[in-house]
Amino acid sequence: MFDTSILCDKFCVDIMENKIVVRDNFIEVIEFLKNTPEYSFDVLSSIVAVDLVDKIELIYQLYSTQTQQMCQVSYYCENFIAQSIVSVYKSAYFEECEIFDMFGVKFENNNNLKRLYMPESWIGHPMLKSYKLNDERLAWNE
Amino acid sequence: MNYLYFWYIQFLQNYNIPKLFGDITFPLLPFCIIAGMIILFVLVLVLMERKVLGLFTQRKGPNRVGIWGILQTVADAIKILCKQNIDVQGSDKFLFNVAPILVFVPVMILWGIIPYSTEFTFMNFSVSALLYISIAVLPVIAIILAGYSSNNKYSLIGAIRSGAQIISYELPIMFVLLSIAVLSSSVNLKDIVFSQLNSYSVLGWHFIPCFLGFLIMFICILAELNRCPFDLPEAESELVAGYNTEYSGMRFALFFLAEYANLFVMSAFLVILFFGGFLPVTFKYISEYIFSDSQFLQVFIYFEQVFWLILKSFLLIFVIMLVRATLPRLSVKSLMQFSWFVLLPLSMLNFILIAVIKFCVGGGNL
Amino acid sequence: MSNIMKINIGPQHPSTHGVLRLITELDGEEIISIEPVVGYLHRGLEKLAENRSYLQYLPMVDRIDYLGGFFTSYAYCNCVEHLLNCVVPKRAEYIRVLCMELNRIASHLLWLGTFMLDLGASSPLFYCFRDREIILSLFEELTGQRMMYNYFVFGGVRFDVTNEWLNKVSDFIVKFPQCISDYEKIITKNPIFTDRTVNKGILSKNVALQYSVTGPNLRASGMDLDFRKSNPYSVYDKLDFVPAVNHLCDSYGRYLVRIAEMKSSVDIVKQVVRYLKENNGDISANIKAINLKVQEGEYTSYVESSRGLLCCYLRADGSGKPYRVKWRTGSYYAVQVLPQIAKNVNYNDLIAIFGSLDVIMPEVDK
Repeated sequence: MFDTSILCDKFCVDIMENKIVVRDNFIEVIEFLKNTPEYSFDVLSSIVAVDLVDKIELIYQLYSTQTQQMCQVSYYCENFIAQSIVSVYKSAYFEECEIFDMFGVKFENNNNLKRLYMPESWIGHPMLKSYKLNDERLAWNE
Repeated sequence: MNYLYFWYIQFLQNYNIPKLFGDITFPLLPFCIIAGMIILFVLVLVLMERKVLGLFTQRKGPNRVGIWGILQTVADAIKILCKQNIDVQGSDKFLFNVAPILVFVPVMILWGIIPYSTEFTFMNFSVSALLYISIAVLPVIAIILAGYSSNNKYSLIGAIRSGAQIISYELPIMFVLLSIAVLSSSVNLKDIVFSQLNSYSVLGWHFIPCFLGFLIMFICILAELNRCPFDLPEAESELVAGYNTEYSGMRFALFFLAEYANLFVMSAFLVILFFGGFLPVTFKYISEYIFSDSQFLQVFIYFEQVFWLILKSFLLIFVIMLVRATLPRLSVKSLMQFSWFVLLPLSMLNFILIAVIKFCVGGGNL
Repeated sequence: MSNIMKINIGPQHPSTHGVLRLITELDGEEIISIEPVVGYLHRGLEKLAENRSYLQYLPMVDRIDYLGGFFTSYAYCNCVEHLLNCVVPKRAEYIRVLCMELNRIASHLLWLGTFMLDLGASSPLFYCFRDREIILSLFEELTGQRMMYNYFVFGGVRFDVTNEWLNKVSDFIVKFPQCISDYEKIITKNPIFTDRTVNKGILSKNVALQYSVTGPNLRASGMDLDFRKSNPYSVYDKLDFVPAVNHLCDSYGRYLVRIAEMKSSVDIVKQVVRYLKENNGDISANIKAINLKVQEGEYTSYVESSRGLLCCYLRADGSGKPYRVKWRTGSYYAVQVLPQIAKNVNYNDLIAIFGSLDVIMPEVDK
């Protein structure tokens, strides 16, 4: 990974092997990563949501066009509420709508949050582990 | 036409039918002949277009129905006739049904005005060129009616685009026609053809002094016919089918028929104005070489003139299809700009040029 | 009473390149706002992965982007190989690069044909498909399939390439640059084409980076970002090619970038074919893919596909099925940027601009 000393000096984050885990001040960390000249992560590559059963992990993958580095920032969201970064990266809008649609995570400060793939009247959030599909006979079993 | 009239009256009197009946029903006869000709020509033109487009894109056109696909258009016509006439909800029924007829009838009239040979002209007016232009604009009203009465936003956009386009491209045609009238000293189409008579056939044709006018008129004809690169109203990839989106069955067939009939008659018009109409390319008529001692020589010459007119029109139609296969579509803004800022001044310039040429060549007389 | 007309473009429409619905507000012919509605082709590919074994999911991966099956296959196989710590043999990597570059050429050819069809020219489509046909038959000979290849496996590729096949590839590559210059002759300097694409759909570098646009769309805005050069994967660091960049920021610039990309892909293919003819080796690391269990971990692999950056995030939990697979595709962000670049343009420019962005809906809807 890249040199994270400047980031660790300013914020209290955990540095894992290939990602940075943030517990609070999430938006400030993202803005810091975007605006600091040493980092300048100006492209949001994608937002991945993983359903660990008791919480949802949101992994923000950022890319810097100047240093050509990839960076992953991870945030555990409990109770299905998270903060929106649409004000920092405009491309986050579709991703956040998709995560709301698929996982049920509501993003605050995103004023137009709506379902992206499923019809508006769909009940349930398909990508959660608790949402079962009827494809048991096609699923791989040992 | 006179021969046909007298022959018809004679025919009826053999069966003791009064002359008045013959006078009243005579106009039906040329109408039937024109209708038959239109159907035959459209049959050939639709197939020709598909084959020519296939030629330019390295594929064969339709070749399953009949030898070389000759019966393809017949199959298409049967298919269209068997389709249901859909009544669009919310459309103005009277206008919706009348619009296809209004598009087709002016085209039929145009077929009657152009001279096919010295004797075969259905209607010979003394100002036939001007009459031709004025009737050629009538389909615009019908297209706008069709688009408006379809109760469909796409059709409305297509219809209004079409109206704006055709009106903008009428004016250069008028100026070019004026310059041809100066060259031929007449606005009668037959006189225009005969003014191109020259012992060295091709050198007398009007496209040599008036080449700029020919180019301008060619472009304007493409716009009048709503053909590529001016086919905004039927832009298939944008508006589905433009003003005839909501039409199906026989009414759609009428639009289709009108477009191809218009194609032939406009290119015939162009040939008459610039390429000598029904005059031969060779120095003398071919019939004069073959049938020089026959007493029916004149009749053979008339039929040969028709042959020359059709041959030249089809060559021009081939060029029009070549243009369709090559060029993309113009956008609305550049369409209007091109017509008003480029073609109109050029056509006026052409008119002045022709007037000067005629003055010099005519030895100080216009 | 306002003049604003709300039009719904799609989802069934000849030119939205898939099922995309655009709710547009028009004022006359000018666009005020666009709202894209996606999800008509959602197949749940990410959820399906959680109930399939790694090998069962591999053929499904080709269908995410039907024009770039090799790119998605590579991204997925790369993730699994990294988590297994397996080393792919050199010959297999070179074959993978060869397939990906030919796939890039085929994808751009289809884009070019459909882009010209949107603009109204119907001939370039057939010429591009003629060349694409040659590439697809090469793939059919190699993998057995024309489109959904299922050719990459974990650790390498399925079948080896023969020298006869490599000779056919060389023959194609030698003739192909002439084809591109033929297309350029009728398209690049065509005034109607430049009139419809120059200064239309301006995407500045800042807006592109804010909306995470990558690939040819970003390179046409002046940003020299090609993941094959900046973060090389596979054997791209050993290959010598020049990525295509220009500063025009409009649809014309995007067209030029893709044409130049096809030419640079030709260079890459020449180098790879030379290597494959001279060197032999294994084509696969012989990983037993049935009952494959991947240790716990997560990895993101990225590929420069023909539409932009393609990322595959894979999280494994030690069992035989992936725990989470996530796809990041280039078209997803191009659809988001469309409302920004198509403000205050005419309606028929919208179709041209959208065509120049090269959006494939299965990539957006997964």
